[in-house]
Amino acid sequence: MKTDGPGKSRSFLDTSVVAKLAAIPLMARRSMLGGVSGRHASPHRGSSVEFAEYRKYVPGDDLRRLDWRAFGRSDRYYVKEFEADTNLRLILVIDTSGSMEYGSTGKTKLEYARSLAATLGYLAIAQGDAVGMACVADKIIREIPARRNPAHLSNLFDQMEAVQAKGPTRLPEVLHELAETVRQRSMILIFSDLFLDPSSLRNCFEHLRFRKHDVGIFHLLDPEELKFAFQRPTRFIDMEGGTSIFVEPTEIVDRYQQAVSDYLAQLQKIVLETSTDYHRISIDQAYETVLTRFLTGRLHGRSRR
Amino acid sequence: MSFIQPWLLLALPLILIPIVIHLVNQWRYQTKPWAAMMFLLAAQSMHRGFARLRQWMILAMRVLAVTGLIFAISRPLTSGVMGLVAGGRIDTTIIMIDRSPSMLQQGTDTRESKLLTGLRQLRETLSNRPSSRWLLIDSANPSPQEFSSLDALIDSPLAEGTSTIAAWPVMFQSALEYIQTNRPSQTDIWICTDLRQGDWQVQNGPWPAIREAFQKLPSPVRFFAITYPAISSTNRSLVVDHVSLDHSADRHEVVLTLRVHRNTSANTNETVPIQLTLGGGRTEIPIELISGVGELKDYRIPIDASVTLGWGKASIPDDDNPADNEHYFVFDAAPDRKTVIFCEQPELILPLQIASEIPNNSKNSSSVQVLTLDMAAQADFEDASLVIWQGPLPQGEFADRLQNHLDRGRSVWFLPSAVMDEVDTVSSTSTSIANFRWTAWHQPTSPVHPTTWRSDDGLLASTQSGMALPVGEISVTRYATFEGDVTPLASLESGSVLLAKLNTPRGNAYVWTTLPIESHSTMAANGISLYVAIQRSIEHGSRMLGNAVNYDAVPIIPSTNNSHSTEPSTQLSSQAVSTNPLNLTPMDTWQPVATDERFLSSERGLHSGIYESGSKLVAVNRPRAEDLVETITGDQLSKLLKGLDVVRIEDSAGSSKKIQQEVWRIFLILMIVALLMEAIFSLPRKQLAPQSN
Repeated sequence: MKTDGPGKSRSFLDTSVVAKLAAIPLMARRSMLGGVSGRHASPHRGSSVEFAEYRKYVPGDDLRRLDWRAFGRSDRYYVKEFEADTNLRLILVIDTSGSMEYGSTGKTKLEYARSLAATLGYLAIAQGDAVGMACVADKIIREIPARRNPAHLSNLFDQMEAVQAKGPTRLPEVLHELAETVRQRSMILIFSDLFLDPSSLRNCFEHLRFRKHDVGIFHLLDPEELKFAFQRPTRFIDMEGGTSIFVEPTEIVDRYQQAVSDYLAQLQKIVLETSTDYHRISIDQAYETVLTRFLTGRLHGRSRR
Repeated sequence: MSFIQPWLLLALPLILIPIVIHLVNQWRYQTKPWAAMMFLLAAQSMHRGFARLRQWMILAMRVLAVTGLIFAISRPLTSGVMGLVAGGRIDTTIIMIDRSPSMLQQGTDTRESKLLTGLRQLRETLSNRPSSRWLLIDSANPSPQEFSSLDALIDSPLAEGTSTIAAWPVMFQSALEYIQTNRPSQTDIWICTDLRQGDWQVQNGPWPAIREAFQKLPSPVRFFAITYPAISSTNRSLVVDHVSLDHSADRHEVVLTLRVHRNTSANTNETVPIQLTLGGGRTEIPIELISGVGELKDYRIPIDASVTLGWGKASIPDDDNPADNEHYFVFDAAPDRKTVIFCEQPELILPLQIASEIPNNSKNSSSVQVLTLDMAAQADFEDASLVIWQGPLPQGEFADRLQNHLDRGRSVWFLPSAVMDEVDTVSSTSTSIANFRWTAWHQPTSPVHPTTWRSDDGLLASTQSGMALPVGEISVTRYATFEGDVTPLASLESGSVLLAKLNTPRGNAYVWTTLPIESHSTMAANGISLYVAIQRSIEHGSRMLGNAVNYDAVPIIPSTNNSHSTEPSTQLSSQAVSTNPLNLTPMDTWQPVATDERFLSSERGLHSGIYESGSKLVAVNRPRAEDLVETITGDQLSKLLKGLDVVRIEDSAGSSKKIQQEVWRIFLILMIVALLMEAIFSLPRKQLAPQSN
């Protein structure tokens, strides 16, 4: 039974997975601006035990921070500063366009996204971070501001559960909007199949980066979408409401795979150039593995202020 | 292209099976909601044309494979690719070749004759069809002659052109007799012909019996007829109709009548130069062809007064068929036109005697000898042009002498006995000549007149100026009836025959059913018809006298011996000459005077030219029937050989294309190639490695 609290079960949240991942902290790759003290590096100086730098004394500085030993050595007044630790704001951006409803492995991409997002949200709340959520399709369908109290989780999960995949995707526009509305220096994790022109995503990522957000992308793809291993003639109906196409799969498979390969190469280039934390995921993978890789990867990339 | 089993082509609609399967497959599509539509759209925009072409190619290959299979089992025959063998080794291959002059017609472009084209194509075709025995039956010598190999057969002089006609029924009969005697396991008969109507004898030939006999053969016999029916419209032929020597006190000339005929009459007239070669001199005379026909009538060529026997040649410039461009002739001083009349009473035949005595030309001399029947045994009529027999039909030795007289190409008239009782008595027997016998006299109540008679040919033919003889003016008050194998030339209004020609192999035997006396008819009173008829008979008979023989080349008559001889040519030649009605020496003893020396000595009589046969001078020419260009159609040929396994291949002289043969292997290979191509096209496209993170 998967639960997030007494008496309420969530199909997308596996407590055993949460338990396994609880030992790995969710770390930001860059300094965050939180409201309270936490475990993440802050751009401001604070009162932690970790030395940051010496700064020349200016009138008004607290004399208790004056480093007398440095004065003794150099006959100058220096103030000793320490790093500040703060919490982070985690914004879970879930693509709820029609294409996310596809799944050939018994689980749709949206359900997979729910599992990832719910687990990460749970872990973040557990370590004192604030978690918010935005469900997007052709616009922002649902938006929940980031909060850090555990009771907020229930609200998050309820919204996750209620959201349905439908409609076209206008992810670039929505990401631009989020870049502006979300407070700077937040962690933004995007769960989407990214069936978009990769060049249209470049500006979004650069915009988010400019706003000093720590952007992570979970690129969710179904194995069938990668292999296209159909045999019979098939009429494919666009799940986002577009036209339908009649295709002899054996005739087109090579060119389909070529198109996928070109798209992924282009996307890979963009995420590298925009320093985006990109994770391509085939949804037949266990999401626990995906999250483990994600969290441990962040451990090595932390402490950049 | 033709097919040995054309009914299998009814399966051709099966080629729709791949198309139907394709359509059914298309109809059985599945519908699937799809998210990654952008990749599908991108894939479709990439090289869509080739993908569609590939799909159509697969479909086309499948259709082609089915088509190839159906065509292969239908056993197609085509002139395209050579070297394909129809089946296993053939036991006996018989090649029947028309060597007649008409087969020497050349192609317009290549100048290769039909005969050479046929031989070449036979060589190319049959070189890939092994056979245990190779036999030749040619039109000049219809007896089978065996050769060691195909090349030996094709290269043999016995496959060259001759001046004889082709008697196809005789050739078929010869092949049939060989097969019946030697019983080969499988026989292929290859026929090379130009389908001339006269050669095939559609109406008169014994085709039903031949067909039936071939159908009854225990072993399979297949016929392959290579036909060259095309007629050259520009070809001209030359024929010397008449030649005579005018030796009078002040004139020494050869009188010549000849005709030039163009195959198809063109609207425009033309002038053709005729070259006359006579006594070492040459003369060229232009002759105008009007509507395709030109005639040079009674053209006189002066000669030395000492010449009484000589020869000459008339020729026209080369055209599509060199074999009919020249005509040889021999001439001799006109022999005495002698008539011998045997009669019961001289009064009965007095008009005949008078008509015979008056020569038709002042330069000719005529004599008549009248003898009674009891003097017949001692009578000498060796040098007579015409013998008239009035009385009961002759029997015994004298009948044989008369038959010999006919066989030498001369003329005999038979008139009935005047005495009714004697006629009845004689009617109980029949003469050996055409199984003819008199039956009875008839006396109609009123005189009857001839109502129909042959005005185009025979004794009562119209004059050269086209004027009809006054045969209808003759009244007949008493006439006899008869039984026998005859061709009526004139019939009375009662339906009875007045004049008939006995159907004899050679010579001219005629029967008059009334007597030229007043109590029987007005033949004497209306004597024009009688005079013309008797002079024509004398004229024809006198042609066979003298030392100049104008001879139409005829094929060697096959031996009646059914067994196959290794040297049939010599035997047949001897046999043919032994029955020679012209009293000529055997052909192989003839000395060529003016002809092509390449010919075999045994075939000298088969090629046009001038030969010496003892003291006689023989001019051998093609029969005039060879100049008739009418051909039988493919349907007529099919009817002639109905029920037999016949494949007909039509071609033209000089054609460079190969003749038809079975090409099912090509279609089988085509089918295999199509299947291989289909497999290649159907191979899965090269797939990229699955994308991974």
